[in-house]
Amino acid sequence: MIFNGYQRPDDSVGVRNHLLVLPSVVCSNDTARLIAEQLHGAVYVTHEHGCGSHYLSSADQIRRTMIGYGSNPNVGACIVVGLGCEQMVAEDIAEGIARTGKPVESIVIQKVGGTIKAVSQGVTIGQKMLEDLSKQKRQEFDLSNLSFALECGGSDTTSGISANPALGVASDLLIREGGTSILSETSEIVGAEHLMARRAINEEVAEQILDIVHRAEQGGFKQGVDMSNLSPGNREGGLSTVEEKSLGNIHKGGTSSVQEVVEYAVRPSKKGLIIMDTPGYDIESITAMVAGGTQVVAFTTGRGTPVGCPIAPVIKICGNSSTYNKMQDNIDINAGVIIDGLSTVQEVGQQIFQELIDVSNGKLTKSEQLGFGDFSIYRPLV
Amino acid sequence: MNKEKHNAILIDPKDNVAVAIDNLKKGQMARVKGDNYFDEITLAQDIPFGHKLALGFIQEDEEIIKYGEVIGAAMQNIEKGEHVHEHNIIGIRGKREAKQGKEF
Repeated sequence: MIFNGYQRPDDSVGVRNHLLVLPSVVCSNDTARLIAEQLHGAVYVTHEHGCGSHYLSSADQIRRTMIGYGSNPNVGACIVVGLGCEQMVAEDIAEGIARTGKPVESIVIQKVGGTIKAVSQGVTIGQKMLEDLSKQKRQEFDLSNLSFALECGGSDTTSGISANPALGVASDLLIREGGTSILSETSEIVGAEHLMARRAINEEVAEQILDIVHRAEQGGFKQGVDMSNLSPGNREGGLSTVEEKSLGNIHKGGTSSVQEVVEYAVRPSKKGLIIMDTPGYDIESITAMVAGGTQVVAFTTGRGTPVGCPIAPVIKICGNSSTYNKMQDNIDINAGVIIDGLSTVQEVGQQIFQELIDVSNGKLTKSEQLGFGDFSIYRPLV
Repeated sequence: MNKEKHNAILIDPKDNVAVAIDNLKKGQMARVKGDNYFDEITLAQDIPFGHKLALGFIQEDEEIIKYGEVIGAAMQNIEKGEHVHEHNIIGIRGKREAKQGKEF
């Protein structure tokens, strides 16, 4: 099976052709925004990072995420905007992104002499980039070039009954075509890690799965959170054991074998099902998977959510018809039809898989139509 | 409500429990639907929305399967059509020790 995407110099394939304006530090957010606002179709992000007082591990993570974001195949060209005195040096970020071979430029506000000059330079560079991007045509590629991020948030009982199992079916279908799916949010694997470990391709990967879950659980204990307990709401909703609760979450990953475990925002070296170690916060988790190279995000929900991503389409899948009918402007697929008896998990899984192909071919998702661009980098405290 | 419409779902063919998708009452018929699967089970107890019912007799210590995976074990014999919840099943919370003896 095939989709139509954009060839990148590093042999990755984009499903979008964005010009990204990326501030390397919180202080250049508004300058980056001004540049992007003047350029038709350009996207930008804002964040609170990049200055100087980060621990080394978090500085590495922030740098890796920014470079990964600019390197994502959906980005055709990138302008990095720095201030000049920050730890996240704009030129370094640009150099990291340039390793993909795509056009990248950096602008440093203190060097060029102020925002107005920086904006002028940025717009001049960006205009040429946009012209080149607009001349690129989509070409046919097989689905093995696609990576699908599996996210869930705003969950309720129905997420685990309909939306997540259906997404699992779609994930397995993509993997059967040679593609990649990334499962994340380690705190939501707690209680089912032995099941994921059993699906690991080898003992080393199994060990890594147990390790990241152990680490997340210990981190939770330090903050006074016991992740093995079910909440009263979980019990009332019909969940009897932690395995059952986590299975509802991990079922997004279908039944495929786990090929690799990667750290936050690290690009997987394998295809198939990947686990990325991210915190259980939707935006920080999506940002990490997109920085890891994923081109399309699937997002299951029960209560509904508007979240989008500036450079990757987010396909929103709702577990029940009541929320879907209320929030159709935010949700792409209604998996509630499984509960309504109008469709089966397999059928909705096929529908999600088809939507993945359509969206990869250029169909805009609801969050894209509304222009949503949520972005957040998880900064470890130690 | 449509008489033919199902009110419980079988998520995976390997499962021995189904999930109620309506508030079901004792004595009522659970109409369980899955892929190429349909069964009618008389309920021994009330099963609230989102809760589980036994598809057949489950023996004490037998594994409880949902999503095609083990979610726990029966603490007592469970009759067909009974409510399956924390009063009669327990999680086998496996961590490092659960990996022992597993084949890769």
